[in-house]
Amino acid sequence: MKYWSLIGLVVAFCLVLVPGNALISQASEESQCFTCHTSAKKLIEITREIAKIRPAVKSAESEGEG
Amino acid sequence: MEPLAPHEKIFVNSDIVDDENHGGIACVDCHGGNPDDPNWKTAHKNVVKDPTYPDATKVCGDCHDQINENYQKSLHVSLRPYRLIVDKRANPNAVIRNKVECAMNNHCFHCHSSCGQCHISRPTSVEGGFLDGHLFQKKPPMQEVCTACHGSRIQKEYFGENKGVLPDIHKEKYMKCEKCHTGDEMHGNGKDYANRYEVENGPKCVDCHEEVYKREAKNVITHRIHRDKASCQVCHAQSYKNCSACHVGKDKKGLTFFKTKASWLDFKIGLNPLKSEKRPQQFVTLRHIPADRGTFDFYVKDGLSNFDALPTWKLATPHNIRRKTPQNSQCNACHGNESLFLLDKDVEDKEKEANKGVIVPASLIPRKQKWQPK
Repeated sequence: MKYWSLIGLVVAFCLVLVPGNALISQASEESQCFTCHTSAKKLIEITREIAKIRPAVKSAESEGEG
Repeated sequence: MEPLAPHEKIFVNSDIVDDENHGGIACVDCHGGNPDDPNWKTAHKNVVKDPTYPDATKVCGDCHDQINENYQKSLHVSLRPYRLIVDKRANPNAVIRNKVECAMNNHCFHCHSSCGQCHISRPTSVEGGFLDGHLFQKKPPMQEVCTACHGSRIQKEYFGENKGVLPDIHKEKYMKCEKCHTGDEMHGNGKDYANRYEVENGPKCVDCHEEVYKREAKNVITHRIHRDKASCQVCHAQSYKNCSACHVGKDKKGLTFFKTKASWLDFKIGLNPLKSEKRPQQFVTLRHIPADRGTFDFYVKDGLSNFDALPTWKLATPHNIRRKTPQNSQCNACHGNESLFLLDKDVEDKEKEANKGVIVPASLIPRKQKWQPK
């Protein structure tokens, strides 16, 4: 019986004190934003796609020191 | 500064979840968009790139309430000096003034900062991109943030990148911008200052160098004699960058551009245009700024009809300070040395009226000294 109480206490402790980062990680993993923006491979693919649709927007006529 | 590759600009370091202060905030809470949508095109609908500009209240204000309270009045956000200067020079005609405002919106008012554009990413005006995978930087990195914008003048002066000019002695002592320009100064204190020289908690040389006026100091006589006559930079700055004739416009594709005519290294002592209790000195270093009567001609002729209301040689605090400089090597390196002073002949005819208050009349040039301290 004592053994089970001890396990119960440990589980309760974990539920109360540990979850901060655990929940954050869980939320982050479920977010498409996080999944995509932490993957260099995906970002390279997407930014290449964007570059095709939206070419550079800087005028070549600027001259001199700003 | 080399821009980041497109994907680098938006790559998020997954360590952000370990940030005990910001790690628990979901992307959507600040940036909007749809975090459940796997299609990046539709997921980004209504996404706000920089949710801290122009108002940071919703995203930063809950925790950083005091900084947020003053945020709108920080000169890096309000750009109030720009507005005041243009107001003074602009044509009072409402139609023309509106066109000037349009030009300012297209060209000038992009150069602002925000909470995000110092602490999370490079400023947008230098093409942005996360500083370190969106990890929050308590102290903005000097070369990616401060000198990314303040590059042509401050960076080149401070790092000694102007040919033949030594770096600032404070740089050689490994001092970064924030050593003098504190977070409190950057964040503002709620007052609507007209220019950076008015900012009460802005840096002053005496904050660190008060001892130069003490009796036992090595050059106490020299420092005491000149204390209210010349700014520290008059004796301790080297040649610095001057610019002229900035014109703005749009190219055939409708993209905005600017053209500045010439930039040159020079050192000119002139009369203090911003004399105040804080800056009582008669002589200060002046920098020629790129403002021009025709800056906004592309948008409207005669937009700056009151151009002469302000000088084009502006109070400057060059960031290339040295203890020993050519002009302080001996008294007569400066006294009687006309070439150091902004004289009538140094000013273009079309700008003489604007600069009449800062040009040094021959009678005010300090006379050569017969006696020199050893």
